[in-house]
Amino acid sequence: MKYIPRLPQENVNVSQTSPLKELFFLLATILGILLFIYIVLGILVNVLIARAPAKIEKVLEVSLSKPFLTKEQTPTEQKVQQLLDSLVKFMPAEEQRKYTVHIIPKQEANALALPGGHIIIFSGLLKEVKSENELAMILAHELGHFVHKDHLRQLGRNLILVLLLSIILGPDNSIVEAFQPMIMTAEYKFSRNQETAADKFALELVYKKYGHVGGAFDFFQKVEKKRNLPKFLRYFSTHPFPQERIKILEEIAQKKGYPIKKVIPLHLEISKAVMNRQK
Amino acid sequence: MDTLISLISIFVLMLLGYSVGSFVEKVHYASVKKRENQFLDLPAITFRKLPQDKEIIDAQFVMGSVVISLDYFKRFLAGLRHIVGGRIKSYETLLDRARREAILRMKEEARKLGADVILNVRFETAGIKKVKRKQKVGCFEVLAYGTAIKFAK
Repeated sequence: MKYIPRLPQENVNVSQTSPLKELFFLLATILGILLFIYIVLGILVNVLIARAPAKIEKVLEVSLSKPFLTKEQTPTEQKVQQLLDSLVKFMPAEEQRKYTVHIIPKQEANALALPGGHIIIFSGLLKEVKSENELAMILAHELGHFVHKDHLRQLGRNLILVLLLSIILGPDNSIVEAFQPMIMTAEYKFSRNQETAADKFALELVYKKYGHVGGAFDFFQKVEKKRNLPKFLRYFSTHPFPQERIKILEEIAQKKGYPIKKVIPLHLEISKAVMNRQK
Repeated sequence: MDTLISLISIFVLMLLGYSVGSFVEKVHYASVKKRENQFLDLPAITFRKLPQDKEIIDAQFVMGSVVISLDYFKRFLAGLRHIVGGRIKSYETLLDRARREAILRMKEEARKLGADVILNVRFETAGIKKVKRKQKVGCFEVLAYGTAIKFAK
């Protein structure tokens, strides 16, 4: 036999499909499956939370609100607590229970509702607040989340998201790492509908307490001034855009004939604490 | 916002990995094909027995080794493949190039010795993983080796 040197006609070791095509196919498949599971489990959580016994909240409180359980309240927190307690009195009787205020030093202007009736206020938020009515609106908004059980609902959804990603992809996968900030920022944020529902509840509560809704829109107006996101990003934001929020609330106030009167200035103890922190 | 930034950075890295990766691949394949034609007269075969009809005047061990790294795009694709299973097509061209390059380097060494044929050619592939803060850098080494034989003229 004679050896004839030659190269193979075609390469059988390399697939001829385009890698871009493969990328889109894979992404579509995986995202589709994840979305399906997420939606199905999300619906399940909604159904289950509505029937969840109080015991579950107790368990979640121990595991999630732990750092806030034993801490004694500072004078500032006590003042905000008094305001909160006075609001709680105007809530439906079946929703009246122990709600606790905690202030944590963080620049962000935000407030959270944690299981067990814990309302966390970032000091950055207090800095923005100028009147008692404004603060009452924020507190009432968080109370609204408790009444609608949003704090449990969202935890359930986030737990599912984290579990799904880490179970399917494994703990140290580059894709999980990419999604991690998404999980972190999604935490304790509620959907637009939930925010609007909480806003409505808050407006009613503030009206019950003060007899008018003056100062209730102040905070959203401040947020609106600060926020200058491009339009296409608005779709992705979980909070309804401040302008929309104000519009919805003003419409309700008009319909129900809530008057707007002079606001009560913030208690000295609170504004003092804010001033100190600014230094 | 953080999510958006990380998603954009992933997108940029993928774009970079894909565009640079495919350009480098194209250039490399062209070079591999050209050199394969140049070395066509130096067969590298898997026979283990020496030919009986020719007188052998020299024999030497030759090898060619290549270390290759994954680009971001290929790694991302492979990461997705790990979930649903199937062929990791994005690695196929990478390993194909590495194997052919390793053979070419081995042949280059053999050519320097004036060899006429390389017998008993074998391949070894090894994954070299550097794990640092969970960030894996995927590298492979492909090694081709054999025995270069020189016949009496």
